[in-house]
Amino acid sequence: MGDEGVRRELWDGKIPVCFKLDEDEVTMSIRGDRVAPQPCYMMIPRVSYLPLVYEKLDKLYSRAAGRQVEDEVWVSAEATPLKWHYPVGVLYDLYGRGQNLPWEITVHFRNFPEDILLHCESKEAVEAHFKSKLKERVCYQQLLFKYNYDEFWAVNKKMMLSTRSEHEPFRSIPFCIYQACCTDGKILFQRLLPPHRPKASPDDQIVENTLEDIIKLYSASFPLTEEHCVLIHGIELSVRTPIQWLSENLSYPDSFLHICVVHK
Amino acid sequence: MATGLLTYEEFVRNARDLVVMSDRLGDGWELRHVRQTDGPEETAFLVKRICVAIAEESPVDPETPRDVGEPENIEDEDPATLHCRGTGKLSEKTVQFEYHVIYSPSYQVPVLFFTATFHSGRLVPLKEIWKFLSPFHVTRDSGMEWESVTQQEHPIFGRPFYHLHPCHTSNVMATILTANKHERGDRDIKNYLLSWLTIFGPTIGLNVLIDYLKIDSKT
Repeated sequence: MGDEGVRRELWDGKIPVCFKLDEDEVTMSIRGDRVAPQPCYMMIPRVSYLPLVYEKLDKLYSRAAGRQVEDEVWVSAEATPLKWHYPVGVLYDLYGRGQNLPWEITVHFRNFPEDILLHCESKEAVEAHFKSKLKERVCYQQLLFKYNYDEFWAVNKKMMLSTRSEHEPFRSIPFCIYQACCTDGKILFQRLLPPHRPKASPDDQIVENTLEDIIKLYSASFPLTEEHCVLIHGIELSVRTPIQWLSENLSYPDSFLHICVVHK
Repeated sequence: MATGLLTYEEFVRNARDLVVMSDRLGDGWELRHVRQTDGPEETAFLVKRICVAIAEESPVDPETPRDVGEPENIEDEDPATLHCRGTGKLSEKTVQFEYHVIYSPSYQVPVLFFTATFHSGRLVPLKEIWKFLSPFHVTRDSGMEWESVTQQEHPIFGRPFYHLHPCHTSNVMATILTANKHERGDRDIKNYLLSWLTIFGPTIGLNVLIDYLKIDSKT
C-alpha cells in the first residue's frame, strides 16, 4: 500500500459505538414502569469529534430523559466523561481499547461535569474551539517561517539534544501526547519537533527525527515502562518511523499528531 | 525582543520581578511551580485572585436567591477573599476571578487564563462573562466574542478555564517594543510581562496598578 492508501485507510477508520441513555436519567414510563429507550448504534470516524452526533443524540433521547432547557448533552465511557474536543480515535484508544465492540457510551443530560468538560452548548462553541486549534497550528508555521533558526532554538532548545547551526531550513511538527493512566486523561505534553536533527557542521549527514525521539522527550517528563505502548490511530508503530512521514500521513485533520500512551 | 516573542526563561525572570513588585504593593500576584507527575520538569505560572462585587444590572447567579444575609465564615473558607475589592461587603453577588498567566510554547507569548465562580461555587457561564466584560471590550455585540474569550482546557491542570485568545499578542507586543525603542533609544522595556499585562489584562477585568510602572522605571 502506498502512502496515499495509508492516508485514505486512516481517514476511513471508524469505530462502532453503542449509545445508551443513562438509566438513572430515564423518566419515560409506561403504566408506571420506567422504559429505557433503544440504544443507538453508529459508526463514528476516528478523525471526527463527538459533537457531530450530539444533535442526533439530543433528538433521540431528550424526550425519554425529560430534558430541561438548560440541560446539555454529554457522554461518558464507563464513569469517565469524554472530552468532546479530543478526536474520537484518541478517546477510543484511551478508554475503549481492549473492550468488546461496539464501544458502549452512555448519554447524559443532567449533572454536566463542568469541572471536567468544556461546555458545548452551540455549534459556535465547537467551531471556535477548532478555529483556535488551527490558529495555533498556523501560528507555529508563521513563527517557524518568520524567524530564524537561532531564535527558534533559543526557545525550544530544551526539546533537542544536539547542537544547532544557523539558517537551516526546517519545518516543525506539532504533536500532543495523551496518557490514560491519570484518572482524568488529558493532554500531557504538547510540543513541536523539526523533522531533522540540527547538523553540527554543514558536512554532517542529515539525521531524521523518529518516533523514538518524541518518546524520549516525553519520557523525560513522564517515565515509561515496558508495560506501555505508544499508539497513533490505534496503531503501534515502529519507533524508527521518521516523524516527517508520521506528520504527512498520520496527522489528524487539525494537523497535529495525536499520540496515545496506553498500557499493553 | 522586537519580534514580540518571549522565551520561557524570560517569562520566568519577568514573572519573578513582577511578584517582587506586587509584594511591595500588596497586589496579590504569586508565582507557582507545578511538577507534572514524577518528571523532572517544572512549569511556572502566575496566579492572582480577586473578588468582584457585580452591579445590579450585571449578571446575577440565577440559582441563588437575591436578598440573603451575609454568608458565614467566608474568610475562613478562602484566603483570597481578603483581596476583595468593591463595597467591602460580600454578598451572593460576588464573583471570584482567578487569573493564571501561563507561558505558551506554541505562541511563545504569555497567555491569560481565568476562571470565574459565583459564591455558590457555580461557574459563571461564558455568555455572562461576555456581558460582564463587555464594557472593556471592542468586540461588544460584534459577533466577535468567539474570537476573544472562550473556554479551553487549562494547559497544566486539564480543567476547563476561560482564556483570552493569544493570536494577536506577538504582533501587538512587537509594535509596542519597537515604538518604545524609537522613543527611548536603546533602553528596552524592562519587563515584557508587565507591559503585556497592562495591555491585555483590562480586557478581561484585570487592571494593573499604575504604581507598578513607577516602581519599574525606578529600578
